[in-house]
Amino acid sequence: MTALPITTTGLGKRFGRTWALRDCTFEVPEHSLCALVGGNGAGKTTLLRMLAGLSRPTTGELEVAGRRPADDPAFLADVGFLAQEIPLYRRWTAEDHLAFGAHLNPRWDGAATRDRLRRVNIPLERRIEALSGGMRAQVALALALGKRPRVLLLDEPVAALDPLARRDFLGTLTAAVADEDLTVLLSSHLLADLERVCDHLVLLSAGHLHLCADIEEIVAAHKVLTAPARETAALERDHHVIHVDRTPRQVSVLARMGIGPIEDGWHVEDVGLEEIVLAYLGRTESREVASR
Amino acid sequence: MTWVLWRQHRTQVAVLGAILAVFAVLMAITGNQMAHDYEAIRHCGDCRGFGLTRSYNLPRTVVNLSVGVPVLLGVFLGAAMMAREVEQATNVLAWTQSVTRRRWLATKLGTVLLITVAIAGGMAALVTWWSRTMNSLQDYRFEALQFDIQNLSPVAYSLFAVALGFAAAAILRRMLPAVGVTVGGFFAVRLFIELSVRPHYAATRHATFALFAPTVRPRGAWMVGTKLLDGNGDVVRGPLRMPAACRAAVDRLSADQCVSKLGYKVVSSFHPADRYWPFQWIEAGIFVALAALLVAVGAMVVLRRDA
Repeated sequence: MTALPITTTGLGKRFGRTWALRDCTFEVPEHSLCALVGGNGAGKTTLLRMLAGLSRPTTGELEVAGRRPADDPAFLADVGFLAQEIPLYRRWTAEDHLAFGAHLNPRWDGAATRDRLRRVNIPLERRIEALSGGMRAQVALALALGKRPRVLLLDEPVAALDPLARRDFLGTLTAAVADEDLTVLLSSHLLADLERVCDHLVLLSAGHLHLCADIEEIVAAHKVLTAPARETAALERDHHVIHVDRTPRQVSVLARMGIGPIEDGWHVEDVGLEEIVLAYLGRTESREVASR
Repeated sequence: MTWVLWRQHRTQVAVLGAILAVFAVLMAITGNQMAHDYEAIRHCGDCRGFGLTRSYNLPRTVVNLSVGVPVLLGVFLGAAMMAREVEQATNVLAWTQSVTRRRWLATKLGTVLLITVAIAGGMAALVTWWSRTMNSLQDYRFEALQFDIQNLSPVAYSLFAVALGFAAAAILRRMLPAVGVTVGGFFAVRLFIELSVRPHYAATRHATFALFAPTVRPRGAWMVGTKLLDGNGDVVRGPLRMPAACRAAVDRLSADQCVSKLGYKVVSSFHPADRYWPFQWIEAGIFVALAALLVAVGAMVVLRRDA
């Protein structure tokens, strides 16, 4: 059996006196396209950079593609990373970057990479500084995919792209996941995009892990319950209440359903991923405000 | 990795190579001309040198300006090599390919230091060759400025400057502060060694002269300093005040004679010409050792610190 693409146990990272990430334990299953969501400063970048071996954890353990991050060619060959800044050599052409990838990666797939860039109409002979943001992101993604990693980590790669460039980018990504032995962890704020392309979700908020599960399971497990104004105590006993919205006339509860029964009188409805994520993110914020 | 480094540094190499080539042409033309002119006048006695040095003032100034080459290399090769990568985050790109950070750094440092030795060595060879006429005329190559731009020392300074630029950029991670530290640090260390350490590589020799006799500079020596001693052998500090015994002197000449008779004398301290090469080796050794230390510190920071 091959090792899981990503496993972490009690992972934490402290910068100075503040914890950017704390006590983070999760697994990402094989061949998944996993979304990493969370507000600004939730610890997404910190997590991705530790997984990529660029920074060291303060506490805990992690394994990517069955190996602990290390300055070791075998680990590096298995893990691809695309940083938020989409770093490329500005004065080089895309063609130069292809040669760069070919020289630095033993499993480099030049033909497929060239093909990928041609399909999205990237001029290979033009300097990077003369390309649009979307084109740069495509070059960087092609470079990351070209080394044929087992795990690809992407830090908000579509944040700066227009809808069309975003569609092309995610199209390239999903095609690659379908064709190859690849697992992707992708952070983004664009929940609609993520819901469309991803099958797994990791949710961070304020440096803590809140959810890590299959998206279909998450959606199936969460419901919105509404009723004319009434108490929620009984509900909270049997189910995991995430968010309560109370008006004088009505109370609306978003909850992860437990095994217990639901009292009569609640109107149960399905809920979309976006609403679920917002409920989780909003919850920690209001908690923080309350604790101050 | 070699291809990557070539692609990355080829512009720098081309620019530096072009500057070196232009300099080489200038040196070849004026150097040969000067040697030729020198042949024509070398037997005319006292006239030697004066006309020659004056008519080659411009190329000589250019040659002397090569004292700034090390710090330029420190900025454009040393500081730029790390700071530009970190500022554009391309180090993150390089460190997530299948090549270890250690190998990336070793190859990069090796390449940059090799370029440094090539450029600085070429420059020093040209300057040394060009200066051969001046050297045989006046033999000032042991004196401060000439010592710094001929033979080994400029190459060692360049290695030091590049290592300093690299370490500063590795620690500070930004171009401008790294450049500031490179320039400031380089001049501070260079001046300190030149003024306070180099004179003590060996004990100076001394030559004693009568008070009003001309002091003679031994050929090819480095004159470190002169001091005035009174009749008891104590150093006279500040301006010479007329000793009591000579206050009665009626005119300047008799006063001079009176003071001389009291035993006042001038002592010059110098390093003789045959110490030139030992001093070059010591100086180069110190700066190469400093460079090695800085490279080690910078490399440790790059390898240990989170990207």
